[in-house]
Amino acid sequence: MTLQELTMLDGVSGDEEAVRAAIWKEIAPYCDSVREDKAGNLIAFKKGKIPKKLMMCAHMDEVGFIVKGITEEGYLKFAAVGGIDGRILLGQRVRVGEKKVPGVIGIKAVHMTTPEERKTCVKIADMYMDIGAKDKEQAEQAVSLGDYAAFDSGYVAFGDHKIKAKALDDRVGCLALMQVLKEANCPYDLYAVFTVQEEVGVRGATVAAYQVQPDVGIVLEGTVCADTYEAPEHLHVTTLGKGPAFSLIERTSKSDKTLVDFLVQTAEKYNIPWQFKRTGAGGNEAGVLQQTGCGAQTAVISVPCRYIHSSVSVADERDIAAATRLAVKVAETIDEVREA
Amino acid sequence: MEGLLEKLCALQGVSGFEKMGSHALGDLFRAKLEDVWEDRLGNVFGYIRCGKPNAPCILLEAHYDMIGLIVNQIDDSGFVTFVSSGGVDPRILPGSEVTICGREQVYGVIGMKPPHILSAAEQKKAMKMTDLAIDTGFSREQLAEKIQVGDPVTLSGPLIFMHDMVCSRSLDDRAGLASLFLAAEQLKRSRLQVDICIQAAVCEETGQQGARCGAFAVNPDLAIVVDVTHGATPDGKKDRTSPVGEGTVVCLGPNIHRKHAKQLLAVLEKQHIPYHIEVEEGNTGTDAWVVQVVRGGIPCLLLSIPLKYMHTTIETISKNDIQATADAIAAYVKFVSEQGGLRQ
Amino acid sequence: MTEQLKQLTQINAPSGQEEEMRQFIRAHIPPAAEIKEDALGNIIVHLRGTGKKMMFAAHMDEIGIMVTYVEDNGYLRFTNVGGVSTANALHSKVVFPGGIKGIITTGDSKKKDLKLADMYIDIGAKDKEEAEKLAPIGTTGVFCGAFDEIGGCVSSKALDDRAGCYVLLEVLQQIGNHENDLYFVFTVQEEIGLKGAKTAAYGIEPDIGIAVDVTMCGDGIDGEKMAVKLGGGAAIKVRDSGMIAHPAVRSLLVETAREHDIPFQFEVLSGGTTDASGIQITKNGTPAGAVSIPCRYIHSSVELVNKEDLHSAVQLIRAVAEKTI
Repeated sequence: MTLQELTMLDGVSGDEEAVRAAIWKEIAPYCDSVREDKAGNLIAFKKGKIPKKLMMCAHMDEVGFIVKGITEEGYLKFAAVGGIDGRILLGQRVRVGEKKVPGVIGIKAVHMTTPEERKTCVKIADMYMDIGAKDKEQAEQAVSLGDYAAFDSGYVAFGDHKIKAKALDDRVGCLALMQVLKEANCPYDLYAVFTVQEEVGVRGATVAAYQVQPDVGIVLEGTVCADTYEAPEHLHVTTLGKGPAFSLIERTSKSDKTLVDFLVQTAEKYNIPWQFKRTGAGGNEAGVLQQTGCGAQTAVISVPCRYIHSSVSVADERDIAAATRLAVKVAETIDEVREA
Repeated sequence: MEGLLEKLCALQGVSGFEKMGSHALGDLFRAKLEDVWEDRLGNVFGYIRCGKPNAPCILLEAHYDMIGLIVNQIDDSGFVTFVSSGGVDPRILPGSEVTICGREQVYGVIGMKPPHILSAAEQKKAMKMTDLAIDTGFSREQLAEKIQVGDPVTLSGPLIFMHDMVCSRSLDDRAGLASLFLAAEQLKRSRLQVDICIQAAVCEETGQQGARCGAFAVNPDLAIVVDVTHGATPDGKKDRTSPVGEGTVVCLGPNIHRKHAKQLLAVLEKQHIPYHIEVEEGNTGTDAWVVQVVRGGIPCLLLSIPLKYMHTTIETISKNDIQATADAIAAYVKFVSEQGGLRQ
Repeated sequence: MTEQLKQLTQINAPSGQEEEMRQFIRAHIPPAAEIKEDALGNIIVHLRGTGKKMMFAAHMDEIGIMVTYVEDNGYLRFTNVGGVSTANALHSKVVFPGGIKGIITTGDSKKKDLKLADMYIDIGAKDKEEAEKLAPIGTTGVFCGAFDEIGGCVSSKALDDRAGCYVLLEVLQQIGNHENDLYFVFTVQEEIGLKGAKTAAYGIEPDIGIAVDVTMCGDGIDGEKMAVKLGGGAAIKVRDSGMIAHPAVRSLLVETAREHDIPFQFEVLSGGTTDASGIQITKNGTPAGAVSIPCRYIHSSVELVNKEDLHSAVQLIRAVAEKTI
């Protein structure tokens, strides 16, 4: 399965079925067992020679929307699912519900705005989706309350080895994790977990970690890359095209020093470019992996994504390939990590 | 109508750079009209001749330029900054996809700085044009041979259908142009006493230069201008918008010729063509405003099609309203043709 | 170069009162040229040819101020003639006809949102009676701004657009064989609405119109974001807020600059416009464009222009005028 196919699937947090089914089908031949847990996580297992547990995870869900109301005029009121900056929403196209009804997020024409309105950003609570329905009745035939909506945004290869898509966070991680299952002979018992609901509070990983109780946890993520227009360099966090990024410390976790050293050594050994993630902010599934049960050594391998959580996330193909290759090598040689 | 709208909305033609689309538009004109020509500014004209020498002429006009951007700088990291051509609302730009039309067509996205590098106050503010840049995925060096300062940039906004509605970029005013084509189909089947000139005008969004010069060249006895007007949306004021899906919109006010307007309304009533009235107390902000004072003065009518989300890439319009506008034009032209008296 | 430019900039000719400029231009036109003055006061220099009608325009007028009211204590209230900013106006020196000088000042210079209406001109008059004799209501003045050479640049008031007038005069001196039917127009009242360019173009009906004027630079600190740099060569206009240059005119200028190795850059200006946008919409439309001279601090008394850029503009206009199209 290609990254294009993965990103074109809709899987807003709580509605990951399409992504789960596609991944399941793809990985089944390569695993000793695959199961869906009660939360919806997809847990793939490959037996190793050494009785220790490596859990690698990537989340299947993406940020998106949920329909909260239908107005008399047939417009949809909605909320963001996961962290979305309202400023990137005006004028966006979306797919609503299981029928994937096309819709747009409307905005009063600039001609009719006051200077004050032009300066402030519209709150998501004040926004609405237009599915072309002439009234509430027609809208209700197409859409129901609680329907999820995802960005309608294609996959485009452009620029110098760049790609643009929605949901790069974290289909890039899913892609790498699938490759690990296909390629790597992990000396430990390998639990490859495709999690749900990361974007609304790492809920899938929380219960998955409880079930697996890993010794080592490695998270495969898409992360912030702020080397954007006029951004000061000390705030870039990661740089596009400079390879996968390793977290040192985040809001919710502290990466294990020996494990990070191992990532660096492995990258150097195989000539894979790498960088540190240069911030203490942000959090991901490593936080729960580290603290569940007796605790685990954790680390994070991230693909830098510009404009993350938008319909036009941008990543560098070389970063994605490098992260994937590194994940495979790490899984294959995980027994070489020195004990802390 | 669907196929026509798809063709028209796909045409290039950022305001001031209409030449990129004028040739393809000329082909569409030639397929439907006689005596097609293009003037030096890029206005495209076509006729339905009645065959009588020195017949009065009615100009049917809609503009075909569309809002877009123009490259004004390329920074050291390769980010491309821009100014607008026509009134682009910067608030819709973050998260949009664009094509820079340089020596090569270069795809790019407009992102924005992530929240963590903005102060709390900045996060509450809308983005200004000068805060934004196009990310092409290329370095400055790589871009040097592909694009340059001054290149036009088109906003991507493919056409989709939603119930009876159409959503696309550039429906302002390609929808108007579509209504002219639909009216022309009807008029070609009638025996007219007048010549019809259809003009697709340039540069409406940047000062209506095309309409002014085109009307000077054609020198018609009556001009019917079709543009879009604001359609009702939940966040729009009712008194400043027109209902969507309920017919064409007839403008009244000093820009509009009173006698023709009264006759038009009578014709619409008689033929049960749905319409609403819009009152503009002064400048209508359309091509009609400049056409009215070309040469010794040209009587103008302005028909509008209600459009939601004007000047965005999700402009949304009702197919019924396009049809009603075409019907109104055809009905009124036939009426005037039979009535005579265009020239006193 | 500098002597003639100095003379040009130090002439006082606010919009609508360009007489001194007209005299100067008439005195500096090669004797062989036909000269016409139209009803508005444009000077139209015609060099006959058999080819395309090509019109070049540079405006003679400059921004200024006009007396609107005389206070009892002899101070003058005033309004702007053309684009005068409060920041540039405050504590500037102005000069009225007859050499009467005055200083623009205000009671409270720290006032927020200071407007021109809060300011007044001190001409040293002791009372209303004396002031009214020196500068009665309706008197138009211009800003004082000496001519200086600074580095490779020149600074003065009114380089907008005496720099353009200089370019056209220089081209008139240098011009060689040409097939084009050439019109060099020194226009009036550009600063208050491109009045002269519009009427001149209506009379001439050119095939191509090219304005020569100054444009802003994007090379200051925290200033306008644009690609034009002082010293970066003649600027070929792509767009300003009044027009988008006709693509064919723009290409003609670019090709000509390339053929002759003349340094040039593109101008994408977000605010302001020039005579070309007036020429463009005359009658049934004229393909129009502009060659701009990069200028820092436009509409101030210390406008700054690079000599090499001026030279490039002269070369480019001359080459285009001589090019058979």
